[in-house]
Amino acid sequence: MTLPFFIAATGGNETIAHQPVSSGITYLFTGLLVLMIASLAMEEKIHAKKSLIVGVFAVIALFLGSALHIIPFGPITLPNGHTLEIPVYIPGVDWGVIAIIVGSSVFVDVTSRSGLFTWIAIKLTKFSQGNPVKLLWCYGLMTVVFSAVLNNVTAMIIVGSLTGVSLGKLNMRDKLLGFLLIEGLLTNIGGLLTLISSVPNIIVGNAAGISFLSFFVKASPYVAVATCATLLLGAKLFKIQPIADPAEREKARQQIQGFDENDGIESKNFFWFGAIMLGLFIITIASASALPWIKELGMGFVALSFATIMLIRYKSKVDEFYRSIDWDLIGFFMALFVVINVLEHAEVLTLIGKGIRAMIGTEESLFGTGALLVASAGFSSVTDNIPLAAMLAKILSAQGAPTTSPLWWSVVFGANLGGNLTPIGSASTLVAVTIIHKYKLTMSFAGFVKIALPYAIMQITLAAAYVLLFLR
Amino acid sequence: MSKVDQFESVFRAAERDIAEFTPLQCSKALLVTDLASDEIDAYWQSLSRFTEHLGSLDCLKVGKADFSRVEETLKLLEAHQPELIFTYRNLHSEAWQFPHSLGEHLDVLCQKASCPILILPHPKAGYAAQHSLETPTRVIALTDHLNHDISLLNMGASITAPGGTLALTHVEDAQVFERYMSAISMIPGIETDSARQLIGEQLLKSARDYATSCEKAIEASDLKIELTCEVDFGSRLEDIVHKIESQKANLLVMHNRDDDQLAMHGLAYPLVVEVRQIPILLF
Repeated sequence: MTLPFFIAATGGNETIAHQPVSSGITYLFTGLLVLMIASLAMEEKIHAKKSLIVGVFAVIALFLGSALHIIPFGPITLPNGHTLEIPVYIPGVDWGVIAIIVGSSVFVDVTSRSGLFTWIAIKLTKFSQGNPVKLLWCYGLMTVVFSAVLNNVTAMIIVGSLTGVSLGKLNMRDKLLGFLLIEGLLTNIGGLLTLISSVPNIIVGNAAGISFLSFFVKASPYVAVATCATLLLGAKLFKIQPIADPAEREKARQQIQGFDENDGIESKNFFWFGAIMLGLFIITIASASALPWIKELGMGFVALSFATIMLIRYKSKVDEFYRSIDWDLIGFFMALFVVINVLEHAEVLTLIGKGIRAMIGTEESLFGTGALLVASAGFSSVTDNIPLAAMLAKILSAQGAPTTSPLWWSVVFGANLGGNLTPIGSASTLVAVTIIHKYKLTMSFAGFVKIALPYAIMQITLAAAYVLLFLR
Repeated sequence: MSKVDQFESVFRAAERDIAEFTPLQCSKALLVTDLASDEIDAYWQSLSRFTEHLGSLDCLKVGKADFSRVEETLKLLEAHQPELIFTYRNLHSEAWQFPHSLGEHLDVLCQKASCPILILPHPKAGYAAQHSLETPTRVIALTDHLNHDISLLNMGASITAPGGTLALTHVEDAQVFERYMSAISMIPGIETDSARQLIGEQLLKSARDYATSCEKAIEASDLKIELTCEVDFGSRLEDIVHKIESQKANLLVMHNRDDDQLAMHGLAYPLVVEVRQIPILLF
């Protein structure tokens, strides 16, 4: 996929070419980057949304970039030779990524109105027959699949809310903390399954030129092993066991049978339409890089097209769905791309690239690949993994890392799994903690780290071994 | 986090209580009257068509001479430990001529007795409907107070004679609903029209879901009764009285007690005072 962002990175667009800058300017912008990352890490403390935090830094970066003459102004040359006068901050935004996120979220939102996801969730709940161990496995697998197909935040919302309701019905609220925490940790495992399962995957996958199918084939064995290991460890540490008393078991079975999976289905036709469209969406996204005409238009086009088709059902009230788009996330991405674009002109990325090269060496080595994975995980555990993925993708691209390089996978695994180290490491674990607090269960920052640490260490160790043994 | 709440609502709405019919156990009954001793058997005989489908009852019949004060009524209750009480309003009083009260005996019995109470039309008053003491084949059970309370189904279905119809009836108070809607219409953050539609639909859906669970329970049992469901907005008292008259119902079944209060709950009292023409089963 060719994106304006990466055209700029590889010098494909002459108007945004690099100009030599002094080391003072580079350090100034490095300081700005550090400040932005620190602000993002303290998002909850300063009570400000991500889009605003990064937006402020985008304004400062653009202003300083212009004042210090490091941003090249001028017309943009299109592939057909025409030139366009557009604001300097527009070409810096990766519109392909924005299109995928907007399209997918609207598509998922409209499809969820068909009752499809709740139908699946309740069917699986009934399949468990109220057995806590079976319920944990059903919810765990559902979390992974929903995270992979939808996104990890939506997956956590659906599975987490069902967990609260179903454990309440079964009078098993004492197991709620364990269930929610395990599900939160599994969202980041599920987020590794496909190229579109998480934003770092989209950014890194696009930069590396990894196809959807190739991504899936390489990531799925790890996801399967890590999911099973997490569920086994979770069941052991949280003492989730089958119900021993036959009468209690029968009572739980009856209670769980009380859920009506058809309750949320407004129209059978729309339900089936939603199911077919979801299947088609996955197939089309998976084969987008090979389909004629579509491969040029990209995955963003696919996502937006499917969203548009689904919206026809609600043609008179599409504005409801526009309102439900996470504009904070979109604003955050756009501002972030602008900041990174300016940082690139200030040669901050070159500076960080040198640091990374010093860590991983000029040749791909076992130590370097593993160190990049662990460092990515550590970094993304305290701040957003998207700036990290965007920056590292840009740096690896600039260094000419080939598609087959395990370094891409180090970034992908590290950026996703780092989210399991702290409650602020990923949006989905934050959702899990919020649901935990909603049910008046105690879970402090340190408490989360203490409980999640064995899982995160196991997952990161497995990932490092997998990358070093199978993806090199 | 509004989406968490959104999905929780979807899943909560999908929850159904699985109802299982358990027949009412009533082998021991207590008939509390203020009749003379030679009138009691005749009165009990007049109830035979109404009670015959309940099987043989070991019934202690109490008349005017057996008690006069409320304490004595309660002693009778304690001594006999009945599973069903038959009585009527205004015992030891002439107030039955004025349809405004239950009388102190019934008032206390309603709160104190742990078993169901069947309140019959006063034997001396002429307001009993013609069909009031016939075999109970047209029974109305009010689901108003406690949705998902299986005891209402157990009571209603047990007391309905084979071949009869049990109408699960729910009248959502339109006046109260309008009051909330009026408050919502003054809150800028809540869209009034959609709130009216969604809250209205959900209130009626909960009652219908309860009726559906009950239908399944009746189907699973060997009872030969028909179960119908009537759910709507309206004026509770007026509409219920109208339904009783239009359907020629010969029994009204409803819950009357709250665990956290001694007095009858809101709707039960006015209904027990005003619906005097047919028997009412309170539990």
